Amino acid sequence: MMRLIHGISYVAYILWAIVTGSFTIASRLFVLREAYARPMIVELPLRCATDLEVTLFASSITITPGTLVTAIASGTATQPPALFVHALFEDSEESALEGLIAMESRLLAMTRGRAPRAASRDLETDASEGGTR
Amino acid sequence: MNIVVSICIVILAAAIILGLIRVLTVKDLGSRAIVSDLVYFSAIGILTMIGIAVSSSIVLDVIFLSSMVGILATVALSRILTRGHR
Amino acid sequence: MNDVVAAVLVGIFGITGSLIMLASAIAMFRVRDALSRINAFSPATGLGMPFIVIAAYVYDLHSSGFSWGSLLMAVVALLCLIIVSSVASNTLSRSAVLSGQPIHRKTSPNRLAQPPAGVIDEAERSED
Repeated sequence: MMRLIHGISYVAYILWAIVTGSFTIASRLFVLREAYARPMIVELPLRCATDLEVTLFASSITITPGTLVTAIASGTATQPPALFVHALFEDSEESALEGLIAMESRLLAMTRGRAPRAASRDLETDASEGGTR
Repeated sequence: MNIVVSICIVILAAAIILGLIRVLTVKDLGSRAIVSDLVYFSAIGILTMIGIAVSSSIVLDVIFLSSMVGILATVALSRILTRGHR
Repeated sequence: MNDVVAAVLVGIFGITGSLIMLASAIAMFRVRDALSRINAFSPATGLGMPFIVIAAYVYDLHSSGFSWGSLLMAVVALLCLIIVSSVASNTLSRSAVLSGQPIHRKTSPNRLAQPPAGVIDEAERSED
């Protein structure tokens, strides 16, 4: 039951993101003085585990205007799988990652029935301790 | 009904002409692929509007089928870009 | 519904959708590389074409009355546009990166410039 409510709110969130993103792309056309976009490619370590979650998350990132998945790095023993996201209108890397992580939390609340706790920090510290760069 | 349909057709035709200019002026192949995709969807929009203008009864069927097979052109272009590689 | 209401609804949805397609076409001129163009293309299939589908459905409702078949067709067309175009954009952007299309030099930060940790397997390399 909770998953149904989370699912409906997630679909509404995606639709609203599509509308606002399209409005951003259209309204930035009329700003002639500065550059149209600030493209950047950020790396997002995933909390999604199953294939269904990763596919849904990549599709919903891509359908949101302004963000686009360019590549997926598969996870290894020390690293979680990572998405490489091309963003057009974000101010900085931190704000881009923040919006994507908020979307991921809503998605995981839909597929798992409850919102995950802040697990991405744990994964990152694990990776930096055990990873051999 | 005819007036609004004509306005839509003019706007979509402007989008197609801009896209064709962009296909001719751009340098890299990936941009050509995505702009040709835009031209495809604009052409579907024009076809739908023409169907409304002539009071056709299969308007919805046209846009239903074309939205389902729209992925084929993009996937074929991306396979061509990578020269048959997945 | 009468003719005027149908024409106004078709006009609102059709013209809005067409304007979004036109905005997406103009945005192709303002950005510099293939990835940004794929990115600026998603309003056209995510919002512009669904509006045109809604205009077509309103016209169908006006001309031939309500039927479950046409409603199902419109809903499936909407879902197909959103989901299918997302998958197609993923495929095209992946192949654009793989085939080495140029990325605009002002893309910063560019995390794809060096391979991520984990692609190059350290254990495998030490065996060579």
